[in-house]
Amino acid sequence: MPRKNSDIVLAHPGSFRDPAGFIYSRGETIYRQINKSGSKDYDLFMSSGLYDELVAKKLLIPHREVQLALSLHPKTAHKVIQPSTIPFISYPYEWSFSQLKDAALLTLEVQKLALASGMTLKDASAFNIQFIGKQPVFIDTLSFAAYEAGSPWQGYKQFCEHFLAPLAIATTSTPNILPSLKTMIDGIPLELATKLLPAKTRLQWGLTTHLFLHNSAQKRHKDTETERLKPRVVSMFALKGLISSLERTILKSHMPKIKTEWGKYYTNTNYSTAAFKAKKQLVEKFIGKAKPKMVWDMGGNTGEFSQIPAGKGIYTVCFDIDPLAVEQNYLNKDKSTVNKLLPLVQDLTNPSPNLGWAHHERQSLKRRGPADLCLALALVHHLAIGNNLPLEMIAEYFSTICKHLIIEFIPKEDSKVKILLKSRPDIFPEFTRSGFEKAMRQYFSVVSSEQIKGSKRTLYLLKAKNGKS
Amino acid sequence: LSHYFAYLDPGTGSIVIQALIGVTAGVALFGRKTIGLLVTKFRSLFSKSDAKKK
Repeated sequence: MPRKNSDIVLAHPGSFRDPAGFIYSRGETIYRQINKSGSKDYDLFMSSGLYDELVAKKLLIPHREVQLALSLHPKTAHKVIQPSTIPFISYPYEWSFSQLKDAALLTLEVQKLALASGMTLKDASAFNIQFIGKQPVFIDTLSFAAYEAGSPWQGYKQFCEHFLAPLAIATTSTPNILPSLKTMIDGIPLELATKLLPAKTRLQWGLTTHLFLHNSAQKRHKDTETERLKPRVVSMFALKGLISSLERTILKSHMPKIKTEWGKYYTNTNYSTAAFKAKKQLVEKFIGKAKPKMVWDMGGNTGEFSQIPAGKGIYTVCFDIDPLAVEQNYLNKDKSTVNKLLPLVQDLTNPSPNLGWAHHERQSLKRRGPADLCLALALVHHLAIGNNLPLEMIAEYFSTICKHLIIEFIPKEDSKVKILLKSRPDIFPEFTRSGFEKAMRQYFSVVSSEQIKGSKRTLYLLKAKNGKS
Repeated sequence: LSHYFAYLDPGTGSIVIQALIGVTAGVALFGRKTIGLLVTKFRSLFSKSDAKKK
């Protein structure tokens, strides 16, 4: 008898740190098992009113309790919960500056409310936050523990390394530093952060205390066993002061002023308003044909074309390499798309890999797919000419990450391609419309193709041949 | 601290320093709030006297 998809049970490979419970999936559904060791805290969390308050304020992902029979390890299980689905999992190294800043502020807000309810956050990982569209939400239901009077905040160091240090370094240098968190998935160590920050940041109270002084204390007590330490009482007054000070310091961080190639892309387009409108209408028409539930807009800049599917209620992830474009997209909180459009920083020539323990903790971009539909508008010439990628390799990659593809071909006569060829010899004889179609047909079948009115550009709707659709 | 509560290594130095930073920041917060209240009170006194003049 063939196995049903719902029979496939998998423990989440990134959910192993906290003995209070773990995440796993049955088929497409995600569950969280609360272990007996975490029962006291979980029950307090639910009965104290904190869960209801956080959900009502849309700060926490809601869940429902399901039958214990669905647990993965029944012997250790106290409860099983089914959290609401997050349409697309993203990681801190894919967020723009303000996304990381908002995630930090959300963590502090949650901690303040927890303290007011007699609980505390036992960690402060940036991976505890996800985005539903442009709304950050706390996802770790097991991060809450009973607050014991006088106890310090266990998550303080983690907060400084996951949030404060990257934001401070980005503020004083460039937001381009944030994707490098891929190599430091447990945040930027305090010692490294203090070496990277310019001396003038020592004059800022928040940074000098939470990073520099904090680092000195860590170094001084490197070999001191916590158990041997004289009992340290951190009063509620001090704890509130600490959270408030962190909040003020985070609020002072700001996206540095930078100029990028893409930040003003749509004010520098080389085709007429009529052609731009025609392109939008054609994209809309092709989306209607593909009927996707999930769209990835690859190289989507500030999200101009992502607005089309998102406006129709289709969840859309808009990827771009440019931190300023992604920042602008995130800050545009258009009400009609705010819950449906997720902007992320992604370099398509070096997409997010599998990371962490055994290459499984954090998933590559490809493993989070395939998307029902990818948009690749004004992108191919950048990959083929800007990055020397053969057209067949572009077609092959797209066929592994999406079921349908709306792709635009821009010929060499177009001024945008001319700019790319200005400073280098033309070694791309295959870069023609027929060469492009030949490459695409190896991995896709053509559903529709139309020339964009008022331009020399062609738009294609393709369907992947690999049988995933 | 209960065993499961402290699954994360908080760092000994981190525990030592947060009491100090927290108290200092708490005093500063209290100070700011008090000054804010005094300023509001002061302003309201003046706005009342202005209203009387009119």
